[in-house]
Amino acid sequence: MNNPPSTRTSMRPSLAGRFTPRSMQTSAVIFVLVFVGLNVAGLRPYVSFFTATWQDTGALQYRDAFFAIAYAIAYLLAVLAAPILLITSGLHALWNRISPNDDSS
Amino acid sequence: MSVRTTFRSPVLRALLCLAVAAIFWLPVLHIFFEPKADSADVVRGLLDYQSGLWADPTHLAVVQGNMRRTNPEWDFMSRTFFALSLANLALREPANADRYLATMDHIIDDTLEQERLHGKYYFLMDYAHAHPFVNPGKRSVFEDGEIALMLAARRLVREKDAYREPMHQRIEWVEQTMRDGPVLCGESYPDECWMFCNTLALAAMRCSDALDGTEHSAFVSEWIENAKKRLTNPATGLLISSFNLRGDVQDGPEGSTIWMATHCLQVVDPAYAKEQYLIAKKLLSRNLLGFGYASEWPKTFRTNIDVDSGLVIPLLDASPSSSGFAILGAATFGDFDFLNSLRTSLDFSGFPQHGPEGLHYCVGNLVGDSVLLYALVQGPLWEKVNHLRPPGVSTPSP
Repeated sequence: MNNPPSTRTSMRPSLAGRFTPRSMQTSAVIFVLVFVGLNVAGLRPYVSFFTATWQDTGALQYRDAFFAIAYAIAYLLAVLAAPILLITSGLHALWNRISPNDDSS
Repeated sequence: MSVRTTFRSPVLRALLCLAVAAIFWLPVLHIFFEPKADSADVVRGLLDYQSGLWADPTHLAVVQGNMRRTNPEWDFMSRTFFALSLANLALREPANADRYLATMDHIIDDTLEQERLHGKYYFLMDYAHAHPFVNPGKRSVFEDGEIALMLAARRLVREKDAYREPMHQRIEWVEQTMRDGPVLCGESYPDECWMFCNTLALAAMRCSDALDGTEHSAFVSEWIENAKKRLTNPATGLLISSFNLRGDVQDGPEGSTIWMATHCLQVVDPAYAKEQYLIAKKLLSRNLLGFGYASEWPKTFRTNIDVDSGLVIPLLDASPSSSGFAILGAATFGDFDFLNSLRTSLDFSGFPQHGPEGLHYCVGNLVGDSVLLYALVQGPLWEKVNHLRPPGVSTPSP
């Protein structure tokens, strides 16, 4: 289904805004800070959930599972996504400097 | 629309840069997780953590309790692998042998005491109660084999008279249980035999022969011939992992079994062990962007996930259990490239926790930590056995 032209036009700046070098750097920093925060909060041991070794019993197992999954996602974002976003922002900034375009910020 | 116009779009530019960045980052990521050539720091960290636990009964009870809720075997196996690690360390570092042996004795005594207090089912999963053992002695080769090996390892480092008779008793039980089986294998669980346990029991027999001049070489030869004929998966050439007493296959070849089996067979029949290791490596080892891992099953064979095989990561077909034991296999056979790639993956995905109490890997449990420690220090114990009694020699060397 085709979107009305007005919607497409209004989406464009917002989507482009998410792909600026600065926004990518911000995302990378947030990913790393969240991961550091979860480390400081002591969530690392909960990843033993992935090998069925629970830190707690009963209903708290759900909490273990939530902490483990949250920590693992934060780790992957910090280790995989954040560096890629930083490299991307550098490449993007370089490209914009060599060949500017109207939409870049 | 021209190429130049297309790349005026910031979104497309960003996506292209993202692709280039990923192509650059992903292949170099493993470099940040590669282990140092010298594993002394890791060994020290693992040793400190596990020794600290055994010196702190309250903390140890919590850690063991966490494992036992899922699988009581893990409590037992963590004892075995840590005790074997200490034996190897004591042989490597004679100056620290007294300290290592004191911890080893503590583990052995506590294990025997727990078994005495709670019975032979204490270290077995609940389904062991479902049926009686078939063998006349109603013994589990899983428990008797590992206890015999712990006792033998202790005595190989330094004789302890109090352990001589208990070790002989366990070896006798293991041998009898295996001889009673139609395929020369004993039950770990009622009518359920595991290659892991039976090859470990053979290693314990070899230790007994080296220590006390007992004679199992004929039985070992017979066992190997039988295993080649009746306990080998014809499609892969790999030993199967579990079967009933008659030798009917329950689980075919599995990574969580075969790597440990090759390690045990190395002291029993080195050539056969190496042959099995090479097949296992060919069929189970994988490498993705510098990260090594092992699958639980060869591509030509599939079975159900169970508590031994553990979680298998989809798409990658990576098994943490198989990969953990593959570290032991690679270390045993000096396969350093594979070993380093496996340890790289472990440091990436194992969530190592360094602290004042030592090192442990959060994603696993005490079994994983003790198997890793054992893999990194193994060697001297098997060398001593081979020195005292070379494989295949039927009479003790002078």
